[in-house]
Amino acid sequence: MTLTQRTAWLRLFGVGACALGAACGGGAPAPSVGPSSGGPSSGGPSSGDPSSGVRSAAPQADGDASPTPWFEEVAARSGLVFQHHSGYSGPFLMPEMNSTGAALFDMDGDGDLDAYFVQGGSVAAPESNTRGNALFRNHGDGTFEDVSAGSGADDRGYGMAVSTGDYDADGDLDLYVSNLGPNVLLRNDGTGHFEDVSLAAGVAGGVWSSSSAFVDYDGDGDLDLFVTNYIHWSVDSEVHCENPSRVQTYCGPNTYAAPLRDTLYRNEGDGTFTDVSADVGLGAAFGNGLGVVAADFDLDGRPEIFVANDGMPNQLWRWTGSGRFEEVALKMGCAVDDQGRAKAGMGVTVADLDEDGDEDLLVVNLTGEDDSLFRNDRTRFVDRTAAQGLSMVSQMRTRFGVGLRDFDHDGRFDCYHANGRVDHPLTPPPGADVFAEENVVLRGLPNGRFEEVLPRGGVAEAMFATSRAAAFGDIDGDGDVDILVVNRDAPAYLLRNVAPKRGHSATLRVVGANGGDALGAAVELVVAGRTRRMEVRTSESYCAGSSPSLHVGLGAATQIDEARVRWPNGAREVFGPFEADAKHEVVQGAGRPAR
Amino acid sequence: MWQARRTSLYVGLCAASLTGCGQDVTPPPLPELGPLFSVDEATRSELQRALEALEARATDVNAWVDLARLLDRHELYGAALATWEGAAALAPGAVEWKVRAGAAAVRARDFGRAEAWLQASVDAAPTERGAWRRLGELRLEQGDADGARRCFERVQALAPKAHDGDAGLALAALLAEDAPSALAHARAARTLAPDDPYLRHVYGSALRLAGRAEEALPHLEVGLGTSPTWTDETAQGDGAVGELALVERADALAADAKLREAAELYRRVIELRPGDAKVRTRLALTLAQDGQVEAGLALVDEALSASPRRYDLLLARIDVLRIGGRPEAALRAAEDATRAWPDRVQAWLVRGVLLRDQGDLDAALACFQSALTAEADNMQATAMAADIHLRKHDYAAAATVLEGPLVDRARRPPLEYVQLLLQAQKRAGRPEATLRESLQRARAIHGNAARSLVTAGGSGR
Repeated sequence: MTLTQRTAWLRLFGVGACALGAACGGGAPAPSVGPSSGGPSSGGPSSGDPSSGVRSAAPQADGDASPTPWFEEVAARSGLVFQHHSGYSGPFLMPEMNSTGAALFDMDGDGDLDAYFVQGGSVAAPESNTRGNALFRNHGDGTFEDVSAGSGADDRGYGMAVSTGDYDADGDLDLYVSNLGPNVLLRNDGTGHFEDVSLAAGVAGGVWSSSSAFVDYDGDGDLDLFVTNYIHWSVDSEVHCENPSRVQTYCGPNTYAAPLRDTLYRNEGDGTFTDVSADVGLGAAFGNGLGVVAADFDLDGRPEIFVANDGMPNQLWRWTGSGRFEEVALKMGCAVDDQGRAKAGMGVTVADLDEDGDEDLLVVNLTGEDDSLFRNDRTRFVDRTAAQGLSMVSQMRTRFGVGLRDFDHDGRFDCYHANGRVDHPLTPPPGADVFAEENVVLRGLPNGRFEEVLPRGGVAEAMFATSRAAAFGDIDGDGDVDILVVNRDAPAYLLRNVAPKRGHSATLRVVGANGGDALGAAVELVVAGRTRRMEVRTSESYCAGSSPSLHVGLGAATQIDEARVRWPNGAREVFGPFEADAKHEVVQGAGRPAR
Repeated sequence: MWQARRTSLYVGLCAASLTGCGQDVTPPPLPELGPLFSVDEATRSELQRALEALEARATDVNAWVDLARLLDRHELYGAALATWEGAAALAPGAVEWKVRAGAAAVRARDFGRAEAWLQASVDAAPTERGAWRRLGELRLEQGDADGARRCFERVQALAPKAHDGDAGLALAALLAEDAPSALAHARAARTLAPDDPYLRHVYGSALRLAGRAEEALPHLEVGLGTSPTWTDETAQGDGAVGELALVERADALAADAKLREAAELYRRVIELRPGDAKVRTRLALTLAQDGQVEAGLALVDEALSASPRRYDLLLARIDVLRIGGRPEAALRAAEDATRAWPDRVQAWLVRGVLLRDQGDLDAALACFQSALTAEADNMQATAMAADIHLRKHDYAAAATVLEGPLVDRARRPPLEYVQLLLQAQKRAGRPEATLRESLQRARAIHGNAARSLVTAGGSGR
């Protein structure tokens, strides 16, 4: 090998001339490779993250010289130790890349958030799964105990997602677990013990399901169940995929050309469900469904159901009133982005970002594809991703879990992205997990734009993992929103919110007549003359169930002046005022009549 | 105008080939390609060779461009950006490499550098439409509607009859939520390119913004999943386009049987790079395809007079003769070539094809076997030998010849090859299990792409 060959070979593998002992500090400088004026070598326009070209929110607090973390990872310290197992053992089996989900919910009615994790296992040999899903009881102080054994919740299917909802209207939240294969409905007895009622209820399904949502689509007072289905897949149908440089990697969903119709189960009110998917028109559009959120986008009193599809146009199902759904995403402007591209929709969330009384929609996608922030104008959606500063920063990583919450109590929604690649990077991240990425926190600004919070992910030390589900809720009861993140083949994160607070907040638990969380209730919150809408829901993000309580960032305001509630049955009441920095219950029937 | 453009291109070329202009230049540092974690051994080797070639010709901008293109092809965007930046540094007078660096920075999602390179491009060449358009697209991503509008106004002013200016202005208006302006520009763009489906998406979006969702829907449906038709600046008909881009355009035209237009572009490149034998042979072949055999031969012979022992030129001469309908002369030239280079495969292959086309299957087979003697694992020679066996109805021999390479996954026989093998195995009466095994191997090598093969083979999963 000649010297030329040798140096070229070494350079190819990232070993510079310094490693060969050549002088690195002296000699004539080589010509600059940046443009002479305003070029990269002279700094360019970016004053923050040089790789993304977006500004970063540092320092975070007025007068601070150094960035302050917003979150502290406390999973092990809190006893919330969950290790996910994808089952990867050589062959690339696609389900290994998608999993899995988690939920934060009060399983035993003691007022704090317990945690539920969905486990993977072995895709090829699910019968060999020895680890089931995991249930952790919150002691009330943010520390946890594993109570999986004997809980009845430790299902051993190859798990994907979990959603929570009180399907039997007994006042507690039940669990629906999506699997690769039959799904599981776990009825909660109110004490944290669960019974698998899937077969009796008729909701087992049998395909590859993903996120699901309990939603009263027909307005009959009980919660129906919408289940997104991903693709028709089996171990036998797996194929060999390679990246452009011919290294084997996981396939994309469109490789299989096998999208599925989603499933809608109508709650019959007697503990059973009927699959009405075909009857209500869901067969009009198939997709690679991953994320789902239900919201009354057009304020007609009935929820629409938005499905984020992976590599295919999203769907927005609108109830027509004649017993069927109409798919209106393209017409309404949320099927594809403003360039007409169908992106790899994964996680989805909603929030009334512009405080105009309806909830806007945020869908997160693959690296190289930006988020899709669709502003809801009630008769249409407008893609505002770039206008609100989310385009460049979001496309740097592959996002799955997502949430819009006011983490720093400044009265504006911030955003959390749980990230992790689905293919091999050119340069491996630190650690053994080649798919790992850092998560990202974005702070909402007064001008409606978002900017990244540094240090990245809001944590003091860089944390790399292949993150998937993110569930949101106040785990330690201190009045701010914490985050639970599931990581592929790694321990979960429990991110305790330690963000420097810029104002106040209040938390409302919206309680229906049966004493349970009133999923589907819509609340207009009036704070210092501003009105924002929040709906009570648990299903959002990716494969996750979050706390149904409404966390309201108040900024400088010291109270919620008024909460106008539209209950799922259409009744309206007014509550409040509610003082800041406290938790309140809004109970159906206890309010003032709406004017 | 033409004279002006020639001068401009010549200046760029001079800057691009600094050693040829009598200047003494220190090359930029070679790009650091990093650990190339997600790259297989074959690609690593390919990149290593390219890097060695670059190191040997570190002051030749074309070497930088070649490597950058290779890196782009493998989607190694960070390294491609560094390499395009090297080209731009070597040839500071050539705007094209600045634009390419800007485009590479966008692909690498290094938006700070993208902004800087594209701004530098338009500063250096205010009439460079491609750079203005890319800068406009970047402004759209930044959410800067005003900035985008200003860029696309320049794009439009520089070529009012091209649709990208109006389309960009429509997108800027959509970002600004200015429905009347979006509609007006979308309409104007559609007038200029009525068949462009992407413009249907833009027009539909403008209608929806204007509150005309029902009217928008059919346009949105047509435009769903389409992309801008101006993604590659080399597709543009005007602006200061470099000679490599010209070659790409010419290749595309030739592939599309637009031979006269392709030939014209090749000629323009030869004027700029008279020593480029590759472009000369491409022009010669294009002329031959267009019936101008003598002109094609003259081009090759002119080059051969300077380098009579150049193998590639001799092969090109054979091809010109063959394409030009002179098989006897072509065969004589091929015989000369195989005599001169008995260990070179391509000459044997060409000679074999000529013999096959004349119906002399035995002689053709002997040529392909000679090719295999020279290079035992040559896939093309294997396939051609098998093809002769098939023509001679000796299916077992064809299958035997073809089965070897499929066993060796590293050789990655192309899908067409596998198709030929399946045909041979079927006709040879190989057991169903053998066919299934071949299919499985093909799937292991080609993955998804082999699905159609499975269907074509009549044996689904």
